Amino acid sequence: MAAVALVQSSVLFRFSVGSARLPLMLLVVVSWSLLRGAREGIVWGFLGGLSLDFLSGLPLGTCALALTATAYLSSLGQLTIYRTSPLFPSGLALGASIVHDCILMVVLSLVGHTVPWPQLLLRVTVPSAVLGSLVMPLVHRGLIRLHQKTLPEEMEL
Amino acid sequence: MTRMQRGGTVLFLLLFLSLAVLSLVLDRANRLEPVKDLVAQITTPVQEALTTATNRLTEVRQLFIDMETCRAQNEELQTLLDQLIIENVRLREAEIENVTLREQLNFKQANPSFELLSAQVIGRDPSNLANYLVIDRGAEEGVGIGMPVLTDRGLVGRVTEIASHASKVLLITDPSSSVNALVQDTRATGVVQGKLGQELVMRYVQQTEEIKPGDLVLTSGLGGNFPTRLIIGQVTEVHKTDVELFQEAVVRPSADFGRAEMVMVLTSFQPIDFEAE
Repeated sequence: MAAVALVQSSVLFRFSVGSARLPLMLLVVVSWSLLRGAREGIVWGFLGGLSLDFLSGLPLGTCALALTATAYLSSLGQLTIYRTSPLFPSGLALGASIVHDCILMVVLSLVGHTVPWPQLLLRVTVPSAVLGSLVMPLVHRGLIRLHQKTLPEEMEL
Repeated sequence: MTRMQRGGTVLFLLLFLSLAVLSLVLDRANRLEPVKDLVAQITTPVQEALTTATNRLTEVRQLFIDMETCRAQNEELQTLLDQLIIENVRLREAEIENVTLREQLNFKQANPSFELLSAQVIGRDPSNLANYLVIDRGAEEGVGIGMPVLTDRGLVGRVTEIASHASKVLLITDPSSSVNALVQDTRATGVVQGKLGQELVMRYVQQTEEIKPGDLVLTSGLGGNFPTRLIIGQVTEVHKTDVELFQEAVVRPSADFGRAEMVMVLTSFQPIDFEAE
């Protein structure tokens, strides 16, 4: 998670498309929650968020809070019948991005930051969510492999 | 998922959310500074290395983008240059035309009694044996046979053939052309005839008359073919021998026939055709 946070903070901001930046950590957490369920998703979300918090100028715990909540909500996707659709991860990433940023903005408002909601939503959140949903299939495919490799072997009875 | 499992997951979630909130609270109370410092000490070198690597990558990418931009700009500038060259040529042509028209206007103002019709030279005699010009004005525009053709510098010739929108002009330098002339200072009369090589010769000047190089030669109006006092040229040489009945003078035409692009037809002058009368 630390590596993803480092890549997101040091590398990805240079490859932004307009004002949209790829929320790689979010995509990883959402994808993992979808593959492994709520508990692992929550742990990944918390650790990933904390990693981002250490590297960002935001108050510590802000991203952790937002990503933990988003991971839990994403894991609910496991319960739907659409989860096998190839487009489902992208749609989930789109919605999760918006929810994540909204939680982040609420937390920031609560801790006293000035948050220009409409501008941030229109200029940053929505474009980043769209970009994230486009890249999500690649991230999800990579994590499926990791998921398959790290699955505990079935025990023969 | 059983109700118990779901309850466990919610508890799990609440635990981590609480941890996150706790971090927020501790951070607001500046209690996590040592931890943050420690993390920063570990992550800063990695971030630096990543940033440097990314910078290099970005520079290489930028180089390719710049090259592509340069190529596109080069093509744009080349197109612009071509357009500007064409525009420049057009403007220079317009400037030359403007100068010519202004000279014609000055000439017209200096000779208010003349009715002049501007015409563009659209052709020249291709044979090199005869000196003709073709102009873009003809019978429809009021051009008639025998009308004098001039520039602001002086006499060019006279119209010999007309079509509806074009005319042929016999230059005074053509060997078949004859113009009755006089020397401005001495009023010595003679006939200016064309000569091969864009020169004129003034013949039949009495031996008793005084002519010298530099004298201006004008149309005399005798014979009714040309109006009076149109400049023909300037005397450059005088040939005078005792054995000859007349003296001759070489005259340099004042009009530049080789470069004339615009001429004027003197439409108010009707030559007298003695043979018809």
